[in-house]
Amino acid sequence: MQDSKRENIMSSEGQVANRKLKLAESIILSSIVVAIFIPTITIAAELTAPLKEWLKNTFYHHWVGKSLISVIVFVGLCPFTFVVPYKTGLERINRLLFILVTLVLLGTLAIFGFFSYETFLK
Amino acid sequence: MNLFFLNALVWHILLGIAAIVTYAGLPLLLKGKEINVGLLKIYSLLGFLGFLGSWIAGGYYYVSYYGKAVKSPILEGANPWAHKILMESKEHVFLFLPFLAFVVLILVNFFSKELISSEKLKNNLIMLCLLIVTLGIIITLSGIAISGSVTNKP
Repeated sequence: MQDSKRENIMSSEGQVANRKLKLAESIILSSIVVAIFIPTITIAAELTAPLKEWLKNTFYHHWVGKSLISVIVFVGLCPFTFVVPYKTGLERINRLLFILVTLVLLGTLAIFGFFSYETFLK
Repeated sequence: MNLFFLNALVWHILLGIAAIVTYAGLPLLLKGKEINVGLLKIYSLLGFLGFLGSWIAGGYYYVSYYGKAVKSPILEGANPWAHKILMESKEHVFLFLPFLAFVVLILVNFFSKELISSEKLKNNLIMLCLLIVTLGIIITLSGIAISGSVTNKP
């Protein structure tokens, strides 16, 4: 009787740990998508006047539009990536963190590089 | 500039710098002999809230005041690149920070035990915090250059 109780407790602890891993992974995955989205929409809006106009007309200001869409993408993707079944683990989380840091660094360089090019070289 | 915009300007700086300080403190806490989980959680929460507050206050100032009253003097001044490069980049690069801060908050709260046992997770979290600090410093320095460029006339 006590053994089955202990097994139940251990299995529920395992489920909680797995849910934590899955939720953390879904948040990191959504952040990775946002890290790709921000430089993409920033550069695309500068190169495509109608897109910038649409952001401005829809959200009052293009920056407000980019901010709100980033939040919507993040909030929309989190439950999706949480529900989709896949194997998770601490090793995967470590790998995704590295990818996130790399993409944010590249995104930052792309944004600064693009505006520097537009100002000095174009 | 009225008192409301002045407050928005000042609070976006104060909250942003406070957030950067907390993320500079997190690696020090993580590298300590004994990890103080409670303090890690407080720092990560304060940092996240700081960036959220800075986002709202700075966003309000930028959208309502900067474009109408500050942008033109910079573009007509001696350093138009301060707006064209620094401001344009800063406002977009900042958008990474609240999401990165949220990831740190979740990791610290979900994996406090693993942070003690897993050196790799700890190092990745430190790397993420240092990225936030680096971007925060770049944004702060850009802000200083932008403010300095308002008064410069050719």
